[in-house]
Amino acid sequence: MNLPSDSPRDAIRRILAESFRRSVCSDNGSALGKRPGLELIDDYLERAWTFRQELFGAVNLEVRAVKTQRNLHATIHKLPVELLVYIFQLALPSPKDGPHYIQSIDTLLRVCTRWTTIINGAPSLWTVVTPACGANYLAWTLAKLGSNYPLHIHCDFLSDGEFTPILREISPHIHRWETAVIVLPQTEEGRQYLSAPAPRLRRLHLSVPSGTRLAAEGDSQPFDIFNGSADWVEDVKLTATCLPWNSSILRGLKSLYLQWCKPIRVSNVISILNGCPDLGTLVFEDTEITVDMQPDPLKAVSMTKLENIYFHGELQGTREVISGFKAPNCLAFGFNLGAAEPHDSEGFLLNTLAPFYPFFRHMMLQHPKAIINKSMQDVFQIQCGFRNEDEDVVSLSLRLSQATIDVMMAFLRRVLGEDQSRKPDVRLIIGRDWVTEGVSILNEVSSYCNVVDLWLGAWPMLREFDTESTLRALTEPGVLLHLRHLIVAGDGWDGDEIKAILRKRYNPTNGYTTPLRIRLVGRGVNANYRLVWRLEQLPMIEEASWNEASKFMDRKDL
Amino acid sequence: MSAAPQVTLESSDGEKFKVDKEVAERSVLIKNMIEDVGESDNPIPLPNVNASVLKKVLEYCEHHRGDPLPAADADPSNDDNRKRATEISDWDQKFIQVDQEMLFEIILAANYMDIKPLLDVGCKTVANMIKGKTPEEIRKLFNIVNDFTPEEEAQIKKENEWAEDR
Repeated sequence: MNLPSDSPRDAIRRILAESFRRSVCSDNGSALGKRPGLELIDDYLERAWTFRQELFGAVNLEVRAVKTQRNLHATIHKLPVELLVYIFQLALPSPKDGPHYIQSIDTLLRVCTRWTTIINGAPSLWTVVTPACGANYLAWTLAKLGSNYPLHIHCDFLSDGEFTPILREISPHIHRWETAVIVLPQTEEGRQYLSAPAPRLRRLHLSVPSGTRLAAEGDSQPFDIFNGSADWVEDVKLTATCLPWNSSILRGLKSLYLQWCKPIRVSNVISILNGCPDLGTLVFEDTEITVDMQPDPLKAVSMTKLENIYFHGELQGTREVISGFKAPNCLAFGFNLGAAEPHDSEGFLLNTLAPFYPFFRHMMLQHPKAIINKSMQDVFQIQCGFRNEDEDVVSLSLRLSQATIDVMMAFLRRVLGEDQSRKPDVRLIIGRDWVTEGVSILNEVSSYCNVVDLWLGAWPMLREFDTESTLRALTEPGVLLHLRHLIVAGDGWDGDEIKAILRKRYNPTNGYTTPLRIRLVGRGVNANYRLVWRLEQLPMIEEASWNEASKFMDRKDL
Repeated sequence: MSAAPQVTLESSDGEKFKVDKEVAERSVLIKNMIEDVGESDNPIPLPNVNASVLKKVLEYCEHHRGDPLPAADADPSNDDNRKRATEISDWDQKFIQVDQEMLFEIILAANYMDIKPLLDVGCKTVANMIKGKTPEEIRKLFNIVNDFTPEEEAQIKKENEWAEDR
């Protein structure tokens, strides 16, 4: 493109004059006669308005052309198109993120016309099929389906009527699907589209179409999606849907997540586990396990890669499944047995869970007072908290009411007290519901294990807990001798009080020799950097630090 | 002990660089040229790379001379590869802390000389500069102007109302 030789002002004047002459004036070149009629004036005004629009349009296009020309001189545009596309790919999130990916593409599309042209011409960037970002993006993606790149389908939260037309477009490319986060069609037509093999599929999340009545769905026959042929699937999540439990798709998985599914038999679960030796995650959420067999513990399936387990459902079925497999490398083991009576829970803890204990790396025992009604206050909820990255330290998080402490202690005696010759190092997290008996609990726990990390106050966003009695218990001689890391989060705690307690704890007569690292969590604790600095002056304090609550939410901090 | 074999490279502006053959062969282009032509005392011309850029490129090759060469069949669509793709080692980060002009010249030279790891470092650096920024911030960063007409901008805005709500 050549830049105009005259100045922008002259160019605009020239365009203006030419356009005016052409568009507004009559054929003889005059604008209006001496005494124009109403019709003529209106005609004049209309032509003047049209002229104005044309003029603005022409100027805008002229300016745009110059700006586009200018952008070609930007340093980044020295790069050839294929490198720019590669850079865009690196800058975008994974296509597995679906709508987030398209949202980021949208940002890049809005930078300049060159980037728009490049992105629109790069099929490798248009591999996410989702209606979540509007009809335009969906249409653009569907129009670019001719390439060979793997496709990531994110079509959940749709009704059958909304999904079927999309499915019609994308099903001929089913051999390219790598991610399918979709609703399972309830119609024959929809299911037909999903009967071809999906040889590249890695991740399958199936949910029920919005607007489907779950009871009706529950009566329907399981559908063997992709005719059972998707050899590379490693991650399956079923939400209120089901596959035949003997489907080949449920073989060789690394992650299986069943949510609100129809009841599954113990024998089916054991069979799935047998077919998935590399399974790393197993989750049953609000999915009942019915007892049709009692697995022989001597023939338990060995699941050496299973690291995360979570059960939320009926007690008996859960118990049978747990006794049917071994997970020696489990890192997080969670239970939510909301419907269990305290009596059952005790038996479950002592007879079923306790033998499993050596495989835990982190376990959180939580009293679900906040989430169940009052009449069920004594019911246990046992669930894992977060994964412990420190392989040498077992974490115990105790968030129980006084009513369940005795059971808890019996559990600890069972799991920790068996081998007195080898006390494990334990991270003890005491939360909001542990309001009394601080010193006796600390003493009892330390008779089974070495508490090396102590976290008082639990989650920083809960503001009603009371850490006082437990914190004061630390000043009693001999309590938690091995403690090396103390984290305090709580309401109304003044740093000077903590300082006084620590000063008392490290009185030379108390015999503590392990240096302590202390971390105060902000918001609840009235901590600040000055306080931290003052704490650091105390003997035996190896390190003192302070976190704002928001930063502390990342528990990797621990 | 005999000295390591050396080759001479000649930049577009005529400057000559004598480097170990092992270092020069980090570039697939040079490696192929040596294989095709055979070893000779004549300098290998690099008409698309000037001396200042070639000096930087050779600094990179020298530092990474012992590194394993990337597998030719590495699948770039593999997610793990992609995740790793955003990570740049400390030395490389320091190395690539140059002005934009030089950064893009290094990328172009790496592309021309076929030095994949260096190309990746350069492209990742640019990608990291883009990540998390608004269109306006990206324009400012790369000295680009908004060349959409007001009508086009209005249309884009209308089409993308779903994104505005987020």
